[in-house]
Amino acid sequence: MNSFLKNTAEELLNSGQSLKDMIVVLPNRRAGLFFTQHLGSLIESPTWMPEVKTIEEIFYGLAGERPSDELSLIFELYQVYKTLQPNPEDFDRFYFWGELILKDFNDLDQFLADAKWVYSNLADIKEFETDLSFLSEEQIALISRFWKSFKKQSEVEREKFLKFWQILDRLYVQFQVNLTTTGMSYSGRIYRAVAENLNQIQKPKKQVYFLGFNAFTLAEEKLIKHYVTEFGAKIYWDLDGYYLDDKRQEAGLFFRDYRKDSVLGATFPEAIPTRIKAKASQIKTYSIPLKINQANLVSKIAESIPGDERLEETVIILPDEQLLFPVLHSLPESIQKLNVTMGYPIRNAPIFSFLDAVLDLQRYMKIKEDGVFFYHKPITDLLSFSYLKEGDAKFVEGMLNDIKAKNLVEVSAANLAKGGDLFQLIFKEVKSTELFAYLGDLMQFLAQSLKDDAIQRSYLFQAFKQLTRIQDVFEKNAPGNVRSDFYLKLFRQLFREIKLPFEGEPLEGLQIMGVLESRNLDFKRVIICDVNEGSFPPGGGINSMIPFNLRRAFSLPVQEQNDAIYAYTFYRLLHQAEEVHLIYTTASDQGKAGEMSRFIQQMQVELGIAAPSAVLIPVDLTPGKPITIQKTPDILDSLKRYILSNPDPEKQMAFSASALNTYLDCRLRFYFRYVAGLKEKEEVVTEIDPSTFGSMLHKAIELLYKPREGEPFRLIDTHTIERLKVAIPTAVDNAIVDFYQAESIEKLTLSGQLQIARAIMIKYIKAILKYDQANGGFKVLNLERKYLAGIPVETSDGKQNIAIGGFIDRVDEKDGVIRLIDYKTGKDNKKVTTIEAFFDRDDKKRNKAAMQTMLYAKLFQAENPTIRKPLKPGIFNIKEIYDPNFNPFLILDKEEIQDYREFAETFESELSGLIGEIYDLEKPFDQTTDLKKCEYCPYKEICGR
Amino acid sequence: MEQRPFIIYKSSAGSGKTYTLTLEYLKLALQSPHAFKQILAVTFTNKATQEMKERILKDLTRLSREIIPSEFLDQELMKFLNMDEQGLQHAARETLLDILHGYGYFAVSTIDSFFQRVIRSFAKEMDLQAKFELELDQAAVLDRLVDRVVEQVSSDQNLKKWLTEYAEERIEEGKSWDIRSALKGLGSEIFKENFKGFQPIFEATIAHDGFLADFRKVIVGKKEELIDEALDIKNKAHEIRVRYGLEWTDFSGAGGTNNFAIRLDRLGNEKNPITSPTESQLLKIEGVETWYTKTSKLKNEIESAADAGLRDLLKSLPGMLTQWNTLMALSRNLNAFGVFRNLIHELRELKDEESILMISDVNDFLKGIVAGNEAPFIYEKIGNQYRNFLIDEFQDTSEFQWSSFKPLLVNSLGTMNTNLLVGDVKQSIYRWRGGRLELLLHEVQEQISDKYQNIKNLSINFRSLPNVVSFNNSLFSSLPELMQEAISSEFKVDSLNLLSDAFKGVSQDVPKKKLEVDFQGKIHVEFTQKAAKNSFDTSEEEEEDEEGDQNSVLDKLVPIVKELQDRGYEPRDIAFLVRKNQQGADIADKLMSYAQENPDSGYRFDVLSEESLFLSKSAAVKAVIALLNYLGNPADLVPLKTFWFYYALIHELEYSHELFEKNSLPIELLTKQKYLVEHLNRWLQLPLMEQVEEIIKFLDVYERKVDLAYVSGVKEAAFDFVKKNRADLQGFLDWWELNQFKRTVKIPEDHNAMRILTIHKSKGLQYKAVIVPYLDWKIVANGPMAPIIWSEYAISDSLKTVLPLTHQSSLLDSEFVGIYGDEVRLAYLDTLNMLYVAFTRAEEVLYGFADFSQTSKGVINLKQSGNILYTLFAQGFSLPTHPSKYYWDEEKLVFDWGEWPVSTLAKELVKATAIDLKWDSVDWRQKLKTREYAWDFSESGIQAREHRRLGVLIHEILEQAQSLEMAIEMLQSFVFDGRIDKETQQTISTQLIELFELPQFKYWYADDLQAMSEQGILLPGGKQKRPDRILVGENQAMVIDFKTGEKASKHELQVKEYMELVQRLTDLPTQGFLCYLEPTEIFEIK
Ligand code: SF4
Repeated sequence: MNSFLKNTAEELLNSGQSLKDMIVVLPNRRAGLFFTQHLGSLIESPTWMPEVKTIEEIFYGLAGERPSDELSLIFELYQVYKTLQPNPEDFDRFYFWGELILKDFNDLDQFLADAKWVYSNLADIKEFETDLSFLSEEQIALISRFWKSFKKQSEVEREKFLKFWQILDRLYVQFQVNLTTTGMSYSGRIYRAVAENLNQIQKPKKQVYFLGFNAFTLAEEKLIKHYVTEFGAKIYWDLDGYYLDDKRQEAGLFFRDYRKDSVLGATFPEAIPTRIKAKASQIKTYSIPLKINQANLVSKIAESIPGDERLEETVIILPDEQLLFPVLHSLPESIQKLNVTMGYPIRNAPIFSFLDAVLDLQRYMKIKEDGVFFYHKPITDLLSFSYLKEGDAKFVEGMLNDIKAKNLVEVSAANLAKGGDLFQLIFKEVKSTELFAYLGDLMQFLAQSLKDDAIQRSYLFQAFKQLTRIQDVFEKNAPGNVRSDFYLKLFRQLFREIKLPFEGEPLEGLQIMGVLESRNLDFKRVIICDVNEGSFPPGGGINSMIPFNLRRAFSLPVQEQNDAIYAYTFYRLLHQAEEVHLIYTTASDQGKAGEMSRFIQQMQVELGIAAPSAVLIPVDLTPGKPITIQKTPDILDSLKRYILSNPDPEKQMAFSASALNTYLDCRLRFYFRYVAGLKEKEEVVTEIDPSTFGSMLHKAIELLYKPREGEPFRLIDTHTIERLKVAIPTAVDNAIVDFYQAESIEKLTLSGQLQIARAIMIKYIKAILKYDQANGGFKVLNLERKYLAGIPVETSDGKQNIAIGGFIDRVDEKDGVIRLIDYKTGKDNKKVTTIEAFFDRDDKKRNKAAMQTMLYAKLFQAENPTIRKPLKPGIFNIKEIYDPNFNPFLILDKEEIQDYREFAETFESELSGLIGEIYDLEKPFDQTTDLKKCEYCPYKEICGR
Repeated sequence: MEQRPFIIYKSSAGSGKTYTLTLEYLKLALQSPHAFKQILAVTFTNKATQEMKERILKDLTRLSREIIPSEFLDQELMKFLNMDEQGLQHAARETLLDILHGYGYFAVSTIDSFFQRVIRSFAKEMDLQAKFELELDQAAVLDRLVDRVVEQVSSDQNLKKWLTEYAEERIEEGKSWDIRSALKGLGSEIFKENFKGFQPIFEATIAHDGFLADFRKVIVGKKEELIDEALDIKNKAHEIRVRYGLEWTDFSGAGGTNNFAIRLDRLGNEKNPITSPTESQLLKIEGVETWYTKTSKLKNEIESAADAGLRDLLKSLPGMLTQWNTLMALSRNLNAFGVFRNLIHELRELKDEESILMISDVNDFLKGIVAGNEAPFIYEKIGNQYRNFLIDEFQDTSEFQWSSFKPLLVNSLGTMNTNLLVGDVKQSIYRWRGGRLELLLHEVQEQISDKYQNIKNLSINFRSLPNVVSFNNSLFSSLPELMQEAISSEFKVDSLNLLSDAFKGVSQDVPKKKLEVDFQGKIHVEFTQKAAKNSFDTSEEEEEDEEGDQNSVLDKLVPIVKELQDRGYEPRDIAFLVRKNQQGADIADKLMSYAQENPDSGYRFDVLSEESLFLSKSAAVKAVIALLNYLGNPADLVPLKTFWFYYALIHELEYSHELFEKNSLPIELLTKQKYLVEHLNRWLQLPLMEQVEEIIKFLDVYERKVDLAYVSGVKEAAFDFVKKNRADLQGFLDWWELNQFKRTVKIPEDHNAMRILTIHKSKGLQYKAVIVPYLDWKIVANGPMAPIIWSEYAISDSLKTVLPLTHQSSLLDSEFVGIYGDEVRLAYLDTLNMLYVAFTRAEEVLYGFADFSQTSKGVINLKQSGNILYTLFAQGFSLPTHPSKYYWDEEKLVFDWGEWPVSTLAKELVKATAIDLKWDSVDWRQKLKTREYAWDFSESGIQAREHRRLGVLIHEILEQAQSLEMAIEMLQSFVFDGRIDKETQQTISTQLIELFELPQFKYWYADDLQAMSEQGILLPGGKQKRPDRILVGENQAMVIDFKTGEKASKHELQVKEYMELVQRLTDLPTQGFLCYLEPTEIFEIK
């Protein structure tokens, strides 16, 4: 196929001049590669190559100087800025402003604008107005319009604007001085230096050719014109009449100007090719709902590449770099070679997240008396990465469990370092001076461990390079005691911006590239994704501190020029293409509507291309399904474990109140939990769920009321309580310490949640004690003790004695009545409608707590068949305990339940019936119909509820 | 004709608003070339923006092809622009092309994005960070915010106190003590304009520490005072009663509620200290007769006791109750509010740390910029100056937005440029987002000078058939009054005629020719009685009821769909309007499952919904998410089992106990399981996007080709997530947890399917047949959903602040009665507007379903929209055009009007030709190569680095450098690039200098020979040969190649090859050298 570079190569080859004596200048390096490649395909014997250069290299070569890196420059700029700004922000905050200012300076220089004029002191507008001789009418109009509206600003706003503006003027001047002393430079400055001293350029010994340029900066234009007039350089333009002749076409914006120019005009060819006009039928457009599905469409198109065609004649252009991997994933098997040329943000890589988490870790590091501690959040983040897991999976798992189970807010470095080399490398105290070494070592270590993952290694390398830079820049400049915090923020800012420059060496295979990478290249088949407004052309406008009208007045590029460049990039791709596929997306997301690119709209009206084909994704769906588990022999087998056979409560499996309540709530949930053995997930750190709260509370009360070792009971009277009251906070603390298996409360850093929980517990326990005190003395028999009993149940194997059991919070005796007390921290109340209602799963107000305490009574009775005293269940529920008229006992028909025995018969037969159902072969485990029950069910993902 | 430049269009449903707007736009745009650049058209949503743009371009395209003299648009344009057909056609063409090639200037935009653009250019002045991101996800920010605030408890005693007490309060209300969710509820207020309007006052009050604590102290003190006062009254009353030898039960009403005197005995209760007589009782107090029953023997004593002070005591109670209620209202949210200071402070930190600007800050900021300025400077900075502003959906504009726009408009009007507002107060349904309909109702007209104003009404309905219009005319003429009655009867609030005012002139005309068409439209409204609610029920249970009823409606939908399709309506002609997305999801479920169970029904049940087709409905999506969860936490078996269950479902395998049992798995799955175990670790190392990809692949959905749109949706979700966030798995899972119900399947608009959408989103749209299945909702929310209203309050001159109040009926008897009433009125208006929007979407057919309830005594409360509608219909709703009650069937509770046309033909549905996509996923890693450099992180690079092998670096330099200077320059660029540090640079630089000192180097780099190495040698086919140095002299040539590492014979061969080539090209005797760099050794090759 034809291509501009190939055609030009051929022309140069046939020009009769020896290649050896040519200098070929192209807009970028890649074009150079392709150009030589084409040359090679045209020659028959080895030959000297021409010198192939980019325009940049010409400038840098002439100046004998190269630009410094951006970070150093911005840092240098900041040094100047600090002297001019009374209260300068920190460097990390300044960084992006600096980037913007530097870009403006660069523009000013590239376009040879007088910076001093641009940043002219607004206070001296008068003076400015008197000397406008060198400006054109239009420029003057633009500027004065700006001033005029500016003058109408309120004082405050004007001040704000001026404050910064006045600095910029001096900043520019002083910055130049500083650069000269330090020997640094930026590209605009170099360009300006060259363009302003054209007469010093020596005539090159070789013939110079400029190939494929579109938009020059003013400095470039001057230089090239100088080469043309003085050194007889030649220019080859890559253009088409379609956009050149139509004044509206933004793609031809620059060419039209150049054609009018006295010097450049003569370099345009006589006959301008017109290829685009006839292309309508070869251009296909597609609309597709999701961005991600573009990859599937691209793949479909790529599949149709004929087997005998050279892959490098097809290009996939991705304006959004993030689409790279989805596209790579979907490419058909048949495509065996590919070449990617584009930047890919490393912040998408896991390694970046990892480093980011390391920075987080260090940011929240604390030094305490007994060592260095890290905050749990970044630790858990880090531990979930494979890098550490690979180091020591067991250790990681153990540590994660510990953090969860003990609700550790902080973990010591010493503890973490036990995991191995990498752990030692990461979890240690890092002073701000050691930070670079720390990160550098870490990166190298990681790179080594990522054996054959070349891409991740490259990511790391990019990050490492940035790190080295920062180190270099700061090592000599930083004031002695910079906080690590500052570095951490800065790293984060900088790392986020890094891109991995994918550049395949070989010029073969399917080509995948970004928009700008396609410049100068021609392809037979062009596939472009994201042909949406905002992507191609990218919107967003020019980012600059210099207001629009001033940019215009001083001929600095504005959005229009930007658009023109992108339009040319787009239409140029049509020159040689035989097949063009343009894909745009329609889904709107995050406030951004999917709007087809203006290019497509233009071509629809002007070229008459066909309307887009809509791509439909099949929307059929596999819906969820109800789950019913029939009772198989296996299941029945496992239920046998509940048959009472072991007198040791610790070893015997028994149905607890909560198991039974679960069964009543939902049979399937019961199945998952107690039959399939799927444990409910541990709650996430720092969240204190009700059960954690409950256990700590129980423990605290236990600590207060516990009978002494070996004694059968403890007498608690009002005096005892008076003494115990002051001990409440300690008891609560000890309960917390016990729960989290900490050494002491001081060692335990309480999370915010826990502190609140603690305060509430104290208050709650106070209320309990207050109640107990007001109602007179009692005997504590035991606390938090496990009880076990059997209950005869009709099963398929006949009557069986099934075990039931549970911990009773408190058993005491008062005035000859045995009280079975439960502490409740939820919504529970004490109203009982009927005993049967305890077992009625359709009763929306089924009182689970009351059922539980009744079960306690049953358990107690079973163990103490001889005790004849009344067994009175009661609930201390947090919801009501602050009520001055609080009464803990169950209420049935407005009467307190005085003795469990009165109801024992009904209760036990209902209970037996319920358990019988569990063993009933005909009753499968199925889902509840009451969706409310599913709301907090740990298995709701399985059920899809 | 006098030209008044400020045109306000008050539109109504279907009155051709978009048409008018487009026409006005074209009038302005076609006036002169490039006039379009000076017009800013502002719409409310991105979608509306899109449509407006398309509409303008479509009309222009059409006009540039042909002018149709009979078209109203064409006529108007020709008249207005004073052009003939040709002229118009030409102008249209020119403008069209100008727009397409100056697309950046085509300013049709949402208010938000326009404002954001302005803000960007003022970032430095506003002291924002240079690279701030606009954060749209307020919920997520709030989440982080609340967590951070709670963690501060340890360091902030005040905060701890607020939070602990707040938690306790909640416990006493029987709620969870975890206050975070509740804090989030109130905390979200900080993003709302309601609060922001008061923010300056708030900031001023919290400026000094402990303010809120003081404030609270005063409130608590006052409460105690009141209680004491009440007890005091009680005692006094007691004393009087005893003095006259009476019991409280002696008074009229005995122990019942009618006994007002007994209230004096109930005073002073901690929770409820003041029991005031009711209004009607208060009237009776004045007399004496009402104090006792006719038969009472103690008449005299009672009379004396009343006169002796009981009457006065009773009369003092209402005032005290008002005070008490006021204090209660103030204290209700006080604890949560105490945290506001921390929230606001922490938000500032967070924004700064993450360089974000909340979307809700935009209006704030802009107001700040615009305030007190003449507007044009703003545009000078962003580069456009607009002369004409066209604002659509003006009724939804917020106070802040308007105050930002106002100066611009005033400025533009000052030079007599046309500006335009279009809106419909009746369709204002975005109050919750800050929309302020009062602006359109009257405020703007009051603010802008009369002499500019040109108010126009659009009163013809072009959208709907006559019956629909007529029905709506009647309905919305009567509803406002009925609802106003409800406001005063149910809430004791004066309606101030707000609803009637807003709906003045609601009746619309129909274009004449429509009256002649065969089909005049059909309306069907159906009611279902549901059990009356027990007023003691908690609000939660009410919701339960609602859900229960919804299912019965669902069953009615399938027959309607069939009927409509039988009558020739295509799926895309039918729309379901709902209030909540969940209702939409239910409808979608119902229709889809019907379609699945009845594959041969002959009807189409495809639905399309931006809001209701949740991704998480799909088994494949559930499986993907479950497995991701498992990856994140392999200790948790539930996600793993979830995965296997859905895997089985997708692949139509039977599930069984074996699948769920924690230690087993069906044999069919064992190979899969093995693969999983083997790959788990590798997956963990992948970037998020690829993890998702791998899992989808593992799921084999590509092969089975099921759920593709849904899994694509998940991929897209990950794609979007990665763009904005740190791309880690856990982060994504947390995000998904919060956002899964915001992600729906995306289907192209032109897909022929029935629409399901919320009433809110339906604004501006129309469908042939509209079904509104859930017309019953609570008008004034209470319980946990009750709105928060902000009010200033001053206890004393120094203790003044602004506080959040929960809207509840006790406010009626408090100092906040004013704002209480405002809220009630506006809530009713919201409902009325919502009904209006819903009912006016239909072109031809309208179905509505509502529940209603009445007590056993037949009383219907007017607090529910369903009840109100029912009351209206049951009380004899009549159509002025057809004045008869005939259409209401009392028995069936159905209103049905309109005859189907006689002949309808079902159209053959055309299936769109689908473009195929390719779905499988391949491993690309082997195909992709990255470039290697010396000292990079490749294996060899790392080694070189570790052993500090400088040779490789020197080699890379010498390959390109033509001189020592260049070499040093290149070395410097390594430093700039970050590849080496300064120290290494130093060492290399020394080595380089040493090298160049060597006699051979001196010779090789001397000027007298021409160096050709930069150019190199090109071989046919494109291969290049680049010896590190080629020198060509008068009568000899030379090739030098540098090497690192071990000596090898192949090096020699290579140099020989170079020598041959050079000899061939130069025809000169050629010398060759091989130079090793570690250590330096030079060999001549013979
Ligand atoms: S989600 Fe619902 S149905 Fe499923 S197990 Fe849990 S409670 Fe039962």
